[in-house]
Amino acid sequence: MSAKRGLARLVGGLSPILLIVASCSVPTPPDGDYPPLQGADAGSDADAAAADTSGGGPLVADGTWLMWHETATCVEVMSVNIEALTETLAVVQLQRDPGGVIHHTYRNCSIEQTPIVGVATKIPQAVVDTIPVRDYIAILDADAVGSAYATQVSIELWGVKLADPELDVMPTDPADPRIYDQDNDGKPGVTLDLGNGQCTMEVIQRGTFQWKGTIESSTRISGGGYNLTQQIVLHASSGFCSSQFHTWNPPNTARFAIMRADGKSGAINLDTNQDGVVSCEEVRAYGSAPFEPRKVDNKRCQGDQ
Amino acid sequence: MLRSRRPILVLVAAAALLTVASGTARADEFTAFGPGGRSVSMAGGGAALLDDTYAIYANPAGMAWGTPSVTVGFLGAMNRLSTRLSPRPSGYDAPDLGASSAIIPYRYRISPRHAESHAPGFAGFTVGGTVSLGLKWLRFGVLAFIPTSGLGRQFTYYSDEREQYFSNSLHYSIYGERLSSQQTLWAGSIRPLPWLALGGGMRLVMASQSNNDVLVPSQADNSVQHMDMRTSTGVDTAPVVSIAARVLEERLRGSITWRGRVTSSIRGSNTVQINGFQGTPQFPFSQPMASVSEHLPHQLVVATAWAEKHWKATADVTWSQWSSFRSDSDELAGFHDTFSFALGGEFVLNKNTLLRTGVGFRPSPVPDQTGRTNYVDNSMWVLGLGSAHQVAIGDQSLELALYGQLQAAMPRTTTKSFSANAPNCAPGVKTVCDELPDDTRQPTTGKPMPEAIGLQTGNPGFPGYSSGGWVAIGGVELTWRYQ
Repeated sequence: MSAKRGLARLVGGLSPILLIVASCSVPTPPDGDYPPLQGADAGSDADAAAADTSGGGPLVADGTWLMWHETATCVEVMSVNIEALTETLAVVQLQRDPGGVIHHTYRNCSIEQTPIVGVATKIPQAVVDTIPVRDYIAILDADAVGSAYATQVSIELWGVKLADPELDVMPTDPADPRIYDQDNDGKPGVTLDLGNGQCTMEVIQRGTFQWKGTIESSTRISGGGYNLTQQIVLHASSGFCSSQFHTWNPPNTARFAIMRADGKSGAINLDTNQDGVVSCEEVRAYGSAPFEPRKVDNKRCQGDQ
Repeated sequence: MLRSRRPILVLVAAAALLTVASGTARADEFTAFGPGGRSVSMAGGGAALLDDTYAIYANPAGMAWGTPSVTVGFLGAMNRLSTRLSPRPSGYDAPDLGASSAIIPYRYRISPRHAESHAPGFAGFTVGGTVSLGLKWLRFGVLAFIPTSGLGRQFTYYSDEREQYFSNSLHYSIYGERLSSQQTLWAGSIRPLPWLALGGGMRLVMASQSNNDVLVPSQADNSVQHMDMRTSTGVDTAPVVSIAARVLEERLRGSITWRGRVTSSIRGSNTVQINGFQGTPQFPFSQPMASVSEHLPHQLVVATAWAEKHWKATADVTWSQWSSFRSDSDELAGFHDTFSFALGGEFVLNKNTLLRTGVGFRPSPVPDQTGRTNYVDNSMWVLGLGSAHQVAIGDQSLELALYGQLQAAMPRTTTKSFSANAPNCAPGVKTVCDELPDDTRQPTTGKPMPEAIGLQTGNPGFPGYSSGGWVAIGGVELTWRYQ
């Protein structure tokens, strides 16, 4: 009994302290005055796929098409491999000859690149507009949906003219006569802007492309392909531009879609000013978003170099 | 006289050592809990009664009545102050556009945002002593608190949305890591009249200057850098002065103490050369640096006591100029000045044993954090309890004191004020702010970003939080009164 009484006295004596401790517990935090908002936090993934209003009839090639392609480049920075994506929009005139070969006349409209460690490479419109139009061919094994589409290797040169565009060694001397001022800015090659004016670099470049895909509908072909980009820096102003980074193109990452854009065969008509020509301005206004560009994924650069 | 010389040498040596190694007095555990077992037991008050080593902090003039002594003690704190964060509502993250993101997407935060976080505890030793030089009317003393966590620790946190990139949590402004830092004080006092004493001394805190030259040889690998460091560590000082009186046969005692403001800081700059920028205005560029790891405000303490043979009663009022408080990032925090109170009693249980107790209240200087900043603090009720047992050894004495204090936080809830049109984050903005301005454009295309419209914030305190809990300290102290 005495032990119980002692315990009771102890509890009684400590009760003010226990009361204080109990009363100072952390309250439940408030809900806050900011309501949850509709939509996802992680950017806009809600864009619709590129319009495809056609049916499943046979493909008729002749006409004006919009081509979108996405290529990846890996850059090694601080021993970390970082992926950069290049999104390109182009106007392509297709013409099928009696033998079934489809001739492409390809003109670039916009080229955009994701930043590398926060530094964006801007390809000025003056550069895009002066990239030579190139011709290449593709073959279709049939006209029906699901049929295979394959192009020949196509070479795109920036700021340089080569006797053999695919195999000649790229010159490195700005005084080499094969190098010319493509963008008419008084400097050899083409001038790219990095880091929003942080620095500029004068380069020549060779892009190698080959696409393979399937007919999705009478107005759309899509698939993947091979690309290789070789760039020679002729001169850099300073800063980030002068750094020599190791780069490579990861395999099996390039994608393309070619979409009829002249309103024929039930296709979308991008000739918004109705002048009878689908211009680069109209293509740029349509943009890349309907093709659902993917986000940078550095894991794709962890493999073979 | 000979007997007092050895302690003098010890104290001078100790003072010199502690001054050199003073590190930073960033935490002010003496202000939070009181200096020494006697004051802690009386809820942080009792300044008019103190006459030993701990009077150096509370009332230096009081030393003039005390017996010269040496003291050593140990104290530890169990800190159960906590912060609970409100759930983040959806839709306020900046868009995740991968490498194109204008700001680092929220999912890449190094530290997760925990729903609840706790303030850290601390422990440390107190050591000090007073000497008389053989004169009844003169005393010198030195006092130090040495945390077990080490000397010279410095922690800083941002109080706003910038902290999301670091700890991503909230921190107690006064009862956090600042409690576990070193304190060093010295003082002297004289008693020109039997009933009147004057005292003065210094608080010492570390003030560092660091100017460094940095070379980054390759932009491709910023993990490699070379540096010439020029860091000098000095001290910033603040006065502690007081006047004390004892009348009516020393039954009525009073004191007024002023402790000056002192700031422990790290200032300087880095001059950075990056290979590739030569020939541009950015070669080299300068990174200024200004951090405040402790800010101890001006304080005025008015204390009185009534002393009878078998009991003593005290009352203390402390004014603190918290309105001058500077945050860790050297910004004026917008705190309020406060008055805090403590009442205490000391009772003689028998010839050798004393019992002490006290109660007090410390109002929080931190206003409601409805805007951009997240300073966490609560008003505190203070309850102290302690005892002392004295043993006479000839004409000297040993005193063993045991003491404890409980501070109970008044629960507090903070809700960020709603604004349908939050301003962009910029220096001087006080409200919850938009980290991604509405007119932000896609960095690669220059096109408008609809996802940037509205408020985007990762502020750790958004949209609100609550705080409360308690902190308790306990300690033991051994004092040798040698004269």
